[in-house]
Amino acid sequence: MEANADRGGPAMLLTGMLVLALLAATNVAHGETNLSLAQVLSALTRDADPLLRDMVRDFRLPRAVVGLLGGAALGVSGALLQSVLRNPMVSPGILGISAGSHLFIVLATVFAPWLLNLAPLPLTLAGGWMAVAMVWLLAGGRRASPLRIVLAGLIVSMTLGGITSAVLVMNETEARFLLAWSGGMLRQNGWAGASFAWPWILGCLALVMLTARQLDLSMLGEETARALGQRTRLVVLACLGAVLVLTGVVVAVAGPIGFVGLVAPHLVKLAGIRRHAMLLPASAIWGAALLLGADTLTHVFGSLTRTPPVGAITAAIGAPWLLWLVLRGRRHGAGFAPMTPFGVRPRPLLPWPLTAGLLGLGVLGTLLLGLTVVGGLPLSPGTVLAALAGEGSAVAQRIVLEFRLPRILAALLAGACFAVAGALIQDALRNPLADASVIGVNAGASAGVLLLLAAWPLAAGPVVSAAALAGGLAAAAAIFGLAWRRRLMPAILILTGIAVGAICGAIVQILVLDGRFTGSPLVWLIGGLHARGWPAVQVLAPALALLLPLGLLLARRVEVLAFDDLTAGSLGLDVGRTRLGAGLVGVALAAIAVSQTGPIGYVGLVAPHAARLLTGHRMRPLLLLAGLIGAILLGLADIAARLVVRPAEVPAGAVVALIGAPYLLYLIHRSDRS
Amino acid sequence: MTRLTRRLLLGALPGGAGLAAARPVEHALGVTEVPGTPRRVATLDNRHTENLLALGLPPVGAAGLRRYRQIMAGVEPAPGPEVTDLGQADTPNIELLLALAPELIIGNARSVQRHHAALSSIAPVLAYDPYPPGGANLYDAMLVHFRAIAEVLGRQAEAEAFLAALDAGYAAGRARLAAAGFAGRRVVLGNVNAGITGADVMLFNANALPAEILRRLGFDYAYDEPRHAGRGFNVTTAEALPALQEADFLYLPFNETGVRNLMATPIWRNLAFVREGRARAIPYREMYGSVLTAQVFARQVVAELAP
Amino acid sequence: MGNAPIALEGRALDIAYAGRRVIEGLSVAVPAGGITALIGPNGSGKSTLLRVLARLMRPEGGEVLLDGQAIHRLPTRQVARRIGLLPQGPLAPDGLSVRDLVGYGRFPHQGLLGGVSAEDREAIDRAIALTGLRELQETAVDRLSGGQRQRAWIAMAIAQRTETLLLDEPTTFLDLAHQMEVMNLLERLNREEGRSIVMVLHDINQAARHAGHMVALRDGRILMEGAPEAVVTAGMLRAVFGIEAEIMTDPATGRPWCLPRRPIGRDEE
Ligand SMILES: Nc1ncnc2c1ncn2[C@@H]1O[C@H](COP(=O)(O)OP(=O)(O)OP(=O)(O)O)[C@@H](O)[C@H]1O
Ligand SMILES: [Mg+2]
Repeated sequence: MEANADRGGPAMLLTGMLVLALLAATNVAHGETNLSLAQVLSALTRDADPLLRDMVRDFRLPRAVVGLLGGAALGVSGALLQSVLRNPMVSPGILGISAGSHLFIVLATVFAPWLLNLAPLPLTLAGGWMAVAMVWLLAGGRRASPLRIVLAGLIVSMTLGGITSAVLVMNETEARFLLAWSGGMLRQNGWAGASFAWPWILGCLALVMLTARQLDLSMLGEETARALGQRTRLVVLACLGAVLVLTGVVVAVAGPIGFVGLVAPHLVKLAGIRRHAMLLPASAIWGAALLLGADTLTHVFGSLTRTPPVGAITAAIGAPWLLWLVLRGRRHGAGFAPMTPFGVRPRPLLPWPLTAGLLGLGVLGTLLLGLTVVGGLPLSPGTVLAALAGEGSAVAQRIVLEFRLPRILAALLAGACFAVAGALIQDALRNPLADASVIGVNAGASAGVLLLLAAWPLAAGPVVSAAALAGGLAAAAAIFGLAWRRRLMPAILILTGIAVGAICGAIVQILVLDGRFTGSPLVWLIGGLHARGWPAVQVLAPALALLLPLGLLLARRVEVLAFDDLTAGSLGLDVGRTRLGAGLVGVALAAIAVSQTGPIGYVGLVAPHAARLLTGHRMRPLLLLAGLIGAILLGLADIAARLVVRPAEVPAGAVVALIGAPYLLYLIHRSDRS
Repeated sequence: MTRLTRRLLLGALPGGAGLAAARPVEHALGVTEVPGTPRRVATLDNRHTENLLALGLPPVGAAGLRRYRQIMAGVEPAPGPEVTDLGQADTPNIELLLALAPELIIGNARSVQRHHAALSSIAPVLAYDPYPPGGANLYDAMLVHFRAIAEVLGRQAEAEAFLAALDAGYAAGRARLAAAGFAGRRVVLGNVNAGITGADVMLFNANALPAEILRRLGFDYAYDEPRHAGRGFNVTTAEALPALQEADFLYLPFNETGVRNLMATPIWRNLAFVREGRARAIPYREMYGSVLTAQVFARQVVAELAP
Repeated sequence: MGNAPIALEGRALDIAYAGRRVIEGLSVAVPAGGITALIGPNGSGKSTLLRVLARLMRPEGGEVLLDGQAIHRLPTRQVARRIGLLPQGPLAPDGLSVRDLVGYGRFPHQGLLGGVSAEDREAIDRAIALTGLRELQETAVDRLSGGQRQRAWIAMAIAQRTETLLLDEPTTFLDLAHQMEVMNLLERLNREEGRSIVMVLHDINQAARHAGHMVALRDGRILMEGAPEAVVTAGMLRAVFGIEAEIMTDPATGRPWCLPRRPIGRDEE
């Protein structure tokens, strides 16, 4: 049976080589000016036109070589990760490596350019590895399940991405150029990148080939492999190390490029190849072919309009592929993860109404802080109170009643919306690391806004909000629609979410690059409450007033969703419909909040956990407490956002990420002790 | 709620601006009634900070002021210490703005759109799009906006005087450049940055601000690709340079590493403009500016090429 | 079993996972007020059958009748008030206390607002008492031993107070004493409250001893059913499990008792 399965191997390798050679030739011929194949060939001869020769030898060839090496590295990394983590859905991008590298590059560019010039590779690698360490910790270290790793990767990418964007927003000029990095680019100036990358990549590939036999064994499962005398841990560590080096190097020379590592191994596996001695080289070849093909496509587009980043093209090719895999796949469990990875007391410390009362006081305190100590004009508490009562100077009254009050109210309301949405979605997806961004709301809203602005750069604020709402809802609807046939199984929803999110992400990448010198697309992509006034409150307050009771009504059923589907079903719960209901209420809340504040992560993630620590499993108190905590969290974040760089302000979304990340780590640390 | 409070508060404001005769002003976000001749103006875009300084009416507050002071250091007229910093251009501090009680707010339409409602509750807002649709000449757009603002502020005379001086500067520069043999020479301007893989070259398109300035200095601008006209530039690599090698290459060194890396590529050495010494660096200047940027850039080009 | 009343009946069931048939043309009747044991090798479709009987899965063909009504046309909640299912390896959220877990058994009886009635409380208390979990009722379920946890789940199913109770391997994980306790408990529920019980068991002797009716499954088909004496035979063990065994009679209960000797060469791929 083994032998049968691999009969297609040599054929796969051969066709791969052929396709690769063809793509490489086309790739070399395309670029800023398109060359004929004859020109390319003549450039390689001794008496070629010197400029043509230089162009081919020093731009086209190194670009093709980097594409080749990079694609091979990504293909092999993907194959390795899929084997080692025994999960067909992981790929190097999911581990957050690129997000970490990006952050380090941005920090260095802005704060220590000499460092970037001195040692770009070690710097990018360090960033990537830091991110991986965070993912590992978040996913629960050695107890990490693959799904948790995927989600932790998502969260780390989100956090680091938030910080990166905040730094970029504050440093507009540098940002304009640095944005190019985030889309991935193969283009090279001479051989520096290629000659730097090849020893690492070829070295790792050689090393990895040595483990091929061991990997075959470890596919049998850890215990079996160990029983067969294999040092599983060692193999796993060697492979993970190789993946980190390979991916880190690719990110350093070409920027983040998604989906090659996911798609290439699957192409190969579809041909029936299972043995790693064949799987790894075939993945390398097909990875290279994919990346070169995508790059060639960017140049074909490039001669028509502006060149899109190659990362966006690979995502656009790869995401539908992931969807197809997810929706046709049979091997997904129910995706059960314990709802409270951070431990919970079965009995709350205080009766929940008391806790709610205390938190209510917290909300009130936040409100008062938001009225008094925020940036701008210093107003004493007395002045603020007078203004609230309609007395005192006209300017103070206007500031308090027209700007401070609605803005802090909007922050509190939006925070509550995000938190309630997060609590509902975590239970609906039965996954503690989920929030609305997992089911596409944020990515969809961003894509919606940027698409609108691309078509109509001067669209008015409310129209932009509507576009955000439409984008968020459309993405979520697509995800639920696609996953419906698989009975909305949590794992399916999450993976569909990743795919749809990636498609939206590709749109965003292309449009951000496109608009970076003429507008400031980033400010639309990081959430914040700048200049939010009564209109925002007028949207958020009714939304919360309508949807929270709906959530509370569903709460008891949603609670039962936390069991496995069979148990829930035997208790008389219509699992699919309840999941849909909770998901819809959550999506609606989050999408409405996003339309007013822009995408803000973390509140929906962290607030429900904090609430669970206080109240346990009961969904109704949980929703209320989470809402209160979310309100306080976003309220405080917005106040801090206005204080740190007065008279300017940072996006509240970035501040939340800064508060949220350490808190999440603390929760994990706490639960590890118990 | 908004409407109500506003009316109440406006009534309470001393000498509400509503008393002076208002006239409609057309701008990128529609038509706005501007009462009287505003004296206290806040700017939310460095382009308009430049415009106001050039008109001899410094803004009372400016968003992006920190950055302005950095990149326009030494350029006269400069904003004095009395100009209030309103924070970042994309997120101006609304409270400080309100406290300044401006009579007019001028900004970039592409960021003003976000908080237009809040801003226009403080003062009439004029917003201009520096990248008008259809790949128009961005220099002309700049002039149109400059003159429009001057008219609203009743400073047409100052505007025309400034533009005359600007043109006189071009004329003098053109003469000097001609004397140095640059008359009618084909030229292209790039901005060189290290990027992620060594060297990015951002080529300004013929409709960009500096391209028009170079034309006015007597050059013939060599890079005109309709597909890049919308934004006025193309970010590419040295690969695009062979096609332009017969022109002179002027470049702004966005960073040193980028320039070093660019020059290290073999293709660079073989380009005609390099071999013949026709590639010249002009001190870096941000090109997201207006008339003052134009003036300084022209001076710098002349100073570099025809000292 | 002739004209004995029927609690639940499956007729001509065809069942498939993602297009793959695992049960074909199967008909089964669960006698009302009796204890039925479902036996069969791994993968023979026992759990699948229970799922379909409890309306948790829709058969491709055939129907399940409850009091003569097609179960798949009844609302989920109504079915859950009449049929309870304890799945194989159920999962509960972390940190849930035993009492909370058992409380969820009342879910199908509660309204949209989910207030806890006196009857609910009484049912919960009784289920906890019956399963001997009174000392453990405030402990988190994930802190219990495998056997204690199993009893907690059974308590939840008991609290559901359904006339029919389907249990998938209720004695797995349990020590001998607790196995007996669970079986006695189920017998008591059957005897005192007249509940019909269907359970999947791997221990043939346990099944023969406690069940009044046995159903032997292999490859998604019923090979044999009837009273233990009729079902537990050397022929059945050979056909269903592929083992040679000796059959004796337990002198204390008079039920058949099997002693496995050796597997006979199976031809499994
Ligand atoms: N969720 C599922 N998806 C696809 N196939 C399934 C699923 N559950 C069970 N099967 C398949 O259906 C067949 C019957 O499985 P079932 O779980 O009903 O067997 P069982 O008799 O309960 O076995 P065991 O004694 O091991 O519990 C098996 O071939 C199994 O592989
Ligand atoms: Mg089973």
